[in-house]
Amino acid sequence: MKIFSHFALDQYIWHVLTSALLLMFLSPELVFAQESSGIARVYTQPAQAVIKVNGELVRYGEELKLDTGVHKVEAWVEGYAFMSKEFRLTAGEFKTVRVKLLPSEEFSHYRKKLKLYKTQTAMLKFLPIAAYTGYAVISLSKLQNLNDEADDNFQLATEAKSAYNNGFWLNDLEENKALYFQSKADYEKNIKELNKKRTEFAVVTGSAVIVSFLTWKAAMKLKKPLFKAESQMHRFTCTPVLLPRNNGVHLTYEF
Amino acid sequence: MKKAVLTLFVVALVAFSCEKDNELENSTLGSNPYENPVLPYVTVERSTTLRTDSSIVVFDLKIHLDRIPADLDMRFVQQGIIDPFGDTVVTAKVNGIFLNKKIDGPSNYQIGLFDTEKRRISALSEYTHL
Repeated sequence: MKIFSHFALDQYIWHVLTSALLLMFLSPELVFAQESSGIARVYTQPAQAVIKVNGELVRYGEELKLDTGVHKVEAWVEGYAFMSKEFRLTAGEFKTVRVKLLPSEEFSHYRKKLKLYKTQTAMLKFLPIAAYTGYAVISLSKLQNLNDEADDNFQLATEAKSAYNNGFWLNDLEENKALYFQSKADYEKNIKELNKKRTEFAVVTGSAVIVSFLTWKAAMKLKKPLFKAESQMHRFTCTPVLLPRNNGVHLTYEF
Repeated sequence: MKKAVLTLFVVALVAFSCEKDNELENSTLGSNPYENPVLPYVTVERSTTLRTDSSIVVFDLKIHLDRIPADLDMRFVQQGIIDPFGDTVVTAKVNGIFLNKKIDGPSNYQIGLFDTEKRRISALSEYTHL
């Protein structure tokens, strides 16, 4: 009897399994129609946003097995406006929910102020130095040219003097005499201009140092705008705890 | 940054605080003895006219080599004479040089050396043919 009943149970299981397999093969819709969940994943832009689905914290792109029906997704990140949207999930569905966060007005304002601050700081710090560098490059180049010109004229005058002293022909003597006086005059003019430019350069350099120092100090005194956005995803809960030994209140803050 | 600016400042001041001296301030050209020679390089040894009323004169010249620089290249040097009419005669001859002269009075000539290669003339001396 015991053997018979065991056999009958085996046969019963066998029949049930065979029927189930046949049913699945012939009409899978009938089988899966019974499924009551789907999979959803949430992508946000920007990717570092805090994401919650039905109030539960989820990761970016995480595959979530959810019941069919309407679900609520919330996303927020500092500097962007809080975004909440709902989506419907049907049975067996694999749904990708994309949430694009828009920069908040406060954050846009802050970015403008920050940009202005950076521009002001950079200009105060580097504009006088850049201007002076430009001036110095041009001025030094001019000084170098003047110096070269003065050296050339000096050389020319020396050569003309030597040629005049050693000359014989009247044409050469007159030519070298004229060349000497002309070169000497040009050389003296170069020297005068060179010394004037050098003094000017020294004065401008001194002024540039003072101005750069003052503007640098002024730049350091400028206050950098700060941005502190209040979390839109926080949740504060207060739960009373009533235990035989320990009574109190359980406070939780969810960021 | 501060150090760099200060270094730049010091270097610039040191480099440019000292003015460039005028090295030709006390330089003078001096005088060349060949510009206004005391003695002429070429002298007229003899000047003759064929007739009294002739407009031609014949010169015999003498070059004083001791009065000209020893290193002067004489290969292209000839005698140059400017006659009373402003015409220039350049010749390699020393004797028997035919020149124009004034009929009605003394004639002034300027005589010197001429470099035919570079077309240069020496200081000239005056000679008057009576």
